Amino acid sequence: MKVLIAEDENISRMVLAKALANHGYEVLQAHDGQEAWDVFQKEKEDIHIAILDWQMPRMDGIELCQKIKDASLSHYVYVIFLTGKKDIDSIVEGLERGADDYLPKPFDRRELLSRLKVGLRLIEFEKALREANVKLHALAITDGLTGISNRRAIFERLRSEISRAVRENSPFCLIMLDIDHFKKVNDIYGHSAGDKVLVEIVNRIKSELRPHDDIGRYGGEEFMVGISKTDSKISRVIAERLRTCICETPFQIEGGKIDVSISLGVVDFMPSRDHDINDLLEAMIKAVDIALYKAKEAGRNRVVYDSVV
Amino acid sequence: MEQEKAKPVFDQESVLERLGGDMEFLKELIELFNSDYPQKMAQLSKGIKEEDFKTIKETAHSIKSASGNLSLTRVYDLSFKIEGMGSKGKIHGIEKAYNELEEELGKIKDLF
Repeated sequence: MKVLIAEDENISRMVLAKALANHGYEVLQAHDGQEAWDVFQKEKEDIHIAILDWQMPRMDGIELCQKIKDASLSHYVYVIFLTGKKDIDSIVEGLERGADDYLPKPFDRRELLSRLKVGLRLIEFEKALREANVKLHALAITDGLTGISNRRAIFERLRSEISRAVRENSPFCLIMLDIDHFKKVNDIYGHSAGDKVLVEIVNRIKSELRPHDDIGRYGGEEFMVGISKTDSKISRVIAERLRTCICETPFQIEGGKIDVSISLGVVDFMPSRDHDINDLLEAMIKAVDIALYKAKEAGRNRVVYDSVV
Repeated sequence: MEQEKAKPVFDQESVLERLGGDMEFLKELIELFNSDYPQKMAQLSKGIKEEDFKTIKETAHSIKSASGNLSLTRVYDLSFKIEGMGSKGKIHGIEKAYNELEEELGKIKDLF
């Protein structure tokens, strides 16, 4: 963990740096606000604490503090002002403009260290919170069983892929697929066998797709696949490949092998800039749903195509 | 005023506490201070002559900052006083404070 100190007065800076180094802090020293800002930009990923003098040439502590706070880093930078202790106006202004704490000058070593500990507590707390948020976000967009996007997340991904297709004027293909007679798998072999089939289906489909294609679990046994930059000819080939990768090889579950098949609806479109993204997404999902329904009606284990203009 | 003069010129215990007891480093800093202040005093003197209060304030502030960290208690008090006079634009008595400061700074050479 690095501490940035900005202080134009040499002796004050050296005393502060020494006190920090004596207690295990890695110190970056700057002689004025501008130099501190240059150092900060280079080392910002490692800087968690900044101790800033108020009055400095080229850039004062207030401006530097605001620049640091506005740098929108992924981690928190705890900023402490060094100030003459009688100067309440400065203290108030410093805190109002983003500083976390202030230290009277000349500092007392024990006070400095305990105030740094306050900063470290906040930094640790913020880090734990940030990590928890990353985990929660991943959980919120992932289907727990299969590890692919859940319903909400696949909608978002499709929306952004479709708007990109509109922007780049490139074709886009949407596939909706449903496992045939999945209820029977659950009823006959049990839910854990059903879960195993779901996982295996996702794995087989993913192995047929490119890494950047979108796949998500839309409902219990329904999945959505979004394929970008693919015209209708190729999208048909892909859909057919998805169908055969499921039905050609039986699924191994506890107590034997079972045959599984899927039905697929496919729509593709060539976007134009007039398209409204939300209308388009809605129209595509409606069309692909109808195509899937037709595939079921026609006897399952097949692909039905449609196109959206 | 008498009480102020009675304060120790130098609170060695407090500065060594700040520096984790590193006497060598302290000597280095005092040396740096000694080589630094004549130029600052010249600046301060010029500021006083020209009644340039901004220069008075900033130069006194800088001396105050350094001396405070080194626990040069009397230098700190005097430069604090001059800084205050500079902020208020008060020229009366500033010459006297300057002379006292200069005298006090002269003693630091013989610290070690």
